[in-house]
Amino acid sequence: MLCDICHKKEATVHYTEIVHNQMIKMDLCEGCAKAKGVGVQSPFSISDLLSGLTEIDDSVQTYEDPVCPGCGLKFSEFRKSGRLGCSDCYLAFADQLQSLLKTIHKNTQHKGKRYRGKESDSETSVSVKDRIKDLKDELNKAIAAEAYERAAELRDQVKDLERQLKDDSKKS
Amino acid sequence: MSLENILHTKGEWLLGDGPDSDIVLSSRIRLARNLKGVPFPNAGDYTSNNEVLGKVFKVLRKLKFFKNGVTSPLRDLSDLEKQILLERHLISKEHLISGFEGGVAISEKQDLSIMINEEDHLRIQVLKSGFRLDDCWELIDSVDSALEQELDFAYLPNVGYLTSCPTNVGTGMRASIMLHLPGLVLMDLINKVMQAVIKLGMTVRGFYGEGSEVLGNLFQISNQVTLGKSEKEIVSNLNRVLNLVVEHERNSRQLMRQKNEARLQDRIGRAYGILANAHIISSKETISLLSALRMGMDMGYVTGISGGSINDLFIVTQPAHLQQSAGELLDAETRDIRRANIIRERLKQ
Repeated sequence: MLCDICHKKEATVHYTEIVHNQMIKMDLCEGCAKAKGVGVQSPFSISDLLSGLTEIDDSVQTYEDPVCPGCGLKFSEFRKSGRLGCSDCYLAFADQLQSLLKTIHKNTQHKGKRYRGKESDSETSVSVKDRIKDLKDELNKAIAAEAYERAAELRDQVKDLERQLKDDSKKS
Repeated sequence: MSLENILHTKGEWLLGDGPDSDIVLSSRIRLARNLKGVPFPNAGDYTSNNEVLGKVFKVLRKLKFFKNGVTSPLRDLSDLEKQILLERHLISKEHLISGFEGGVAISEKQDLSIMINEEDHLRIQVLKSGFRLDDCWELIDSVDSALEQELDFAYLPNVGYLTSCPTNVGTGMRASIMLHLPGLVLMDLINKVMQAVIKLGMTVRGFYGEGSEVLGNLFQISNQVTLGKSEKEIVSNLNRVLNLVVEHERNSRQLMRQKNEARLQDRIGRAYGILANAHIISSKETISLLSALRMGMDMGYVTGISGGSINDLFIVTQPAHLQQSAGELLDAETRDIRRANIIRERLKQ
């Protein structure tokens, strides 16, 4: 088998890589492989992708640059690194993250395992109630604006949270 | 048990047993967890990271899951020891180079490990042989539930478990399967199948995870999305898709057998011949030939070797494992000679 690049020398390096979800197969000779840098390519960085996403997103293009009170991270710094600084960042950047999460996960509502912790979770059930109230307000607005797709989404979220509240009170 | 003992015993996930083990090498689930109110490792300093390490170790040492296992800060391990843990998939490459006062805990059977201060404060991982994501979830769920009795995890009811990178938020779960797909590769169907898998919301990677190339026809398929689906939904989606991939691989192998058996047997025979007789062999060549041999064994053309011993060869022929068994550091050429010796010995038995 001859090298895919120079078509002269025998291919000794057989190389498969997934780039942009496409599998690329190449058979190269030692020289061409070296020249191409096969085997030493730097891995694709998730933070490159993330900073790309936040830049595309219009709703994040604001002049504000909120700062997390917990760790002092600025949102602009997060956009560069793709890494948040502490758990408080999720509250400090809640609005900005909302649209980012939607882009990444196609969803903004956690449906998995719920953290219980060692104490009783009376505190969480209060915050769940607050959240349900907020969602219901938003739901009414969505219906008034005839945004039915969004309304259906909100309705499901309310249902999930109400179920969660019921489960929690049963268990405690 | 000391790390020394762990390094000298084979991990349970290499046994080569479990459902569909002719195609599925291993199943893995990891959960990302962080402590509330403490900076994530990348934003923390020496003091805060070190405190996390101490606090988590104290809890882990009490847990039944790590009885007879090992807990150690990375700074107490030699470079070779760390490299071995990496080759066994017990820690990640990022963990080795990040330098956030990292630590590692490994269970006696090596099916459970926790990285402390990798990208997140805790990365809990369960690794099992064969197609067993449900078992992985059951174990990791119970470990996580035991941990949450002792540690305050960063969590919000609407977005779930909070992680350093928003791509992991929610369940914090990545479930993945390591598949051996020589049939689909040889029949040139792999691209089509992988495209479909990607369209269904999964990610495809090479042998050593993110950014690694595909070696020996080994593919890692995992869930992409961590928010908006429950852990069980994620596992059952993967199970459904992977069952189809396994079926396609079986069909391709069958098709090769019917259409071009001589060529297939030739390929396997040549791989066997080189492995059994070579005196100098690189790690890349080893992996690709082992892949052909493994296929020959799974299809019944090669007898007298077990799947487990081929899985084991994939690992013991990696650079750090070779140097460990030699008891000294070796240069690349000496490693290639030693690697060939080990393979010849094993294939004689």
